[in-house]
Amino acid sequence: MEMLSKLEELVLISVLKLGPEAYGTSIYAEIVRLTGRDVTVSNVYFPLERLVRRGHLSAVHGEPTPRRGGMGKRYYRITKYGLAVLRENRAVSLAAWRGVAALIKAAEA
Amino acid sequence: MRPPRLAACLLKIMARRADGSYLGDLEEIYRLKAEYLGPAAADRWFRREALRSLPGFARESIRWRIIMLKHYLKTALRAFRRDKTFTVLNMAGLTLGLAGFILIMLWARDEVGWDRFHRNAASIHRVESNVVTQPGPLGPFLKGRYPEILDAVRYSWLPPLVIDRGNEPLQENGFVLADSSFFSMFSFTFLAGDPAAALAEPDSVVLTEAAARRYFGNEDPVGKGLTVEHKFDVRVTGVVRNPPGNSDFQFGILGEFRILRRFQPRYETHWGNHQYLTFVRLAEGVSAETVGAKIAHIVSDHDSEQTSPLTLVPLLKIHLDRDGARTDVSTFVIVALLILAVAAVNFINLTTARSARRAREIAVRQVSGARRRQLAGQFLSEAVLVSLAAFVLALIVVVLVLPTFNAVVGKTFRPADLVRPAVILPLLAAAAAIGLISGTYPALLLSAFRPAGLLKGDGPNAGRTAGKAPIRKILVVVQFAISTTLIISTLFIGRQTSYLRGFDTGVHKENVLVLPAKEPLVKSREAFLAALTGRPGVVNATFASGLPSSVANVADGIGWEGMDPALKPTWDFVAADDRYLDTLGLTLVQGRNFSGNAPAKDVPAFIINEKAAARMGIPNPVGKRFSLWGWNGTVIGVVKDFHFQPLREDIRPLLLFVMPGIYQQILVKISPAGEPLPAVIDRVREVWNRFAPGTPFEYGFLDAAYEDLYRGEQRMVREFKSFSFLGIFISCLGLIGLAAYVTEQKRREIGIRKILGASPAGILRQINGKFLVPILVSNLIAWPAGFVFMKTWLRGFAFHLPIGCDVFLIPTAVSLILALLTVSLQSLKAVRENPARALKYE
Repeated sequence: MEMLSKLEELVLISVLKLGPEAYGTSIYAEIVRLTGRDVTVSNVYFPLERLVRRGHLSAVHGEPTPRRGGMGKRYYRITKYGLAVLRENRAVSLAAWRGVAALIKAAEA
Repeated sequence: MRPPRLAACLLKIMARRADGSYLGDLEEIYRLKAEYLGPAAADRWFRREALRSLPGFARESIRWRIIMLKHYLKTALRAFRRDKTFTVLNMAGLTLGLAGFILIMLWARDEVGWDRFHRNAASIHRVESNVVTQPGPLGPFLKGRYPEILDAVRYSWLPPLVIDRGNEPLQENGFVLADSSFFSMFSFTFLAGDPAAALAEPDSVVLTEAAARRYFGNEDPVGKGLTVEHKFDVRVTGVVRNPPGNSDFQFGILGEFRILRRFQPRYETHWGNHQYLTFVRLAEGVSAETVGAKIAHIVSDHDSEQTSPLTLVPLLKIHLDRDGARTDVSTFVIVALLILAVAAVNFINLTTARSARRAREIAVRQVSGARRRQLAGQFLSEAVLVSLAAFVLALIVVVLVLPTFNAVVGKTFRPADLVRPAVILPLLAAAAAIGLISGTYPALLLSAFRPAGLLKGDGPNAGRTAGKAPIRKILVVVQFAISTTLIISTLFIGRQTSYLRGFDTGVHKENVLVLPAKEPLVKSREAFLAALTGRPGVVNATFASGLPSSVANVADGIGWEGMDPALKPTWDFVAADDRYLDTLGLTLVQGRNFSGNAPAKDVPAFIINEKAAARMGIPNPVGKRFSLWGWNGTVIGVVKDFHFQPLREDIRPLLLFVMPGIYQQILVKISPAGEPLPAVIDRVREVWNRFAPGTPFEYGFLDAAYEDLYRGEQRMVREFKSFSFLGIFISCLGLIGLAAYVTEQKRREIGIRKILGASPAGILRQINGKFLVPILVSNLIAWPAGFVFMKTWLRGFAFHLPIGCDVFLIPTAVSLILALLTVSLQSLKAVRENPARALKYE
């Protein structure tokens, strides 16, 4: 299975968390909240599209609203394949991070 | 609350491909930020976002372009495979056109770049007066005397000499001499030896690679010696790379100029003898005219007999200023472009004709959302693809044809020459450009099809008013006009050239051997001639200063009794002997031949030709006083005018007198009647070896020398022949394609006609009729074009054939017949087809 980049991983997780409300702006807001950094929108948007292209996400068009200057929203949903990849990556992360907190503490001492 | 306009516009432009949700997202966030952080901060953030997203968009855009290109490539290949005949025709036409273009440009570059490789080429000039060669003292005189002239170098050819290295003697035909600073003025790559010191010592020589190999094999020649004419030694001080083909400096051995004293002892002081090329290098920014004006009178100052002023001719102009060389180059470049035009026109025609087959594909694409620009882009890229593929094929064709081409044009191109970036890149660009240009019209046409009619099966041109496409007919006219003009030109040039070669020059040039007049032979002239003419098969022999086919000696310092002193005649001359007239079969119309062979210096007797006599204005010049170079004598005879120059020139006044010092050739008239030629030649060789032992026997034929005069024209004929053939061939290719298209269109109509009882002949006539008019029109264009072209070319010839009618009628007939044949062959298939099959296709 493929290894996701950190950003891709975060994006997928955000989509999962946001459920039916997962669209560009909300995913962006979530990522800003998670990382606490001033992420660029395009740094979220392009990976989002990439994930759609590679089949991790599926996208659906919404109704236009005046708030967005007349553009509709694009809603993202995670696919079965995306879920599988996410599960795999989580397993790898968990395995990698097990016991690392103690190591960091020891290294800092 | 609106986001900053500039940034928003920028984003809109970039995000055109993507759907609008990105922009919507940004705007939403913008509003939030404006609410919470204030408009200023929001604006700043927005602008930064816009900039930051640029690279992403760029990457995406490139990605998509590549994907589309891959798709277009696949489509193009599929289209080509489906329609193999058309693709082959198209490619063939373009390949041939490009190949011809490449070859011509290769040749033209060579000609235009003549002697351009010298570092100082731009500032080097040749000193000329009414003749190209100048007196010996001029070079050193100019050097050091004028601040504008940085250097002056003389260059001279020696006659063929025998070079000896202790083993067998060899004849060197490329022994030249030059002043010691030759290699600092002209750039030749040294493979051995020091360029600065190469010609420093007297009697030092520099060899070319080829000469070094010839005389020394694989040994290093530097420091070694060679014996010249068994008389004196020279020392090799360097080896240079062989001079490139496009240079006037072709030599095997280049020696230091002072070696000349052994051949012409007075060269340092004698201002009357014009024998040496003199080159000067001017300082920066100095104009040739100003310097020319300064030095114009130098020769006439030192020798009052010579009056023509000196001028400077730039080195880079010398080659192209030759007899008609510049017209040659322009002509062929134009022909190359014309051939390319024919090929391009072909491409356009064939592609548009085939468009019907793509109709359905186009319709589907349009319905699937392709915009016009995209469709046009697709077809344009197809055209460029074909054109680049044709380019690669053309290169292969060129490499294959290169040996034949070299033989025809007399150059030595190697495949390696093609691959140099300076050569290949412009050609590649040209090929791509051709693709773009030829592809534009079809691309525009095809992308403008309307889907509704196509899908219904009405035919691709339903709903379009330009279905008839008169432009296609125009293109056929253009193609055939160009090709027919080429044929006319070829015919005429061919005629003119055979006319020139068969022309009666007034000289009996058959069966005349030409031998070099070596010194021992000149010394024992009488005995040699007596021995020669005694042998069976030898009729007569004469010593002369040049071949009667192209006399290259000119004299001023001429005067005669009663001459208008304002006249300063410059006449051609030949130094001959008492056997000259007889050997060459020339007739005297007045007076007598030389009696005896006393040099004109002692016994000033002169024979002139009729033109000269007319110039003198005296009806009976025999016996009148005549002087040349201070020798006062009389005219003893007038010879009938004969052609001693190539037929490009009118007959000029000619002077004959005796001057053994400048004999260059021996002309031997033999009569092989009853004697086999090789036997007679052997006898001549025998006599030669008796009088000039140790000198290798070399001979040539006079009629071959005459042939050589027109080598340029013969080459032109061959080249024009190939190009006409090429042009007609490509045009016919195009015609095949068009005919096939028309036939295809008319399948149903033909079927119906057959059922109604029309005969195959009648149908053929109808189809052919469509093409008849364009062909006739193209001939009407070709006639005046060909006429103008021929008239311009003929300006270079004093003697020429009149331009006859058949030169125009034959090509017209040929093109008509060819066209009709081609079209008929194509339509025959449809005509013979079972009409039921044609009508079934609903």
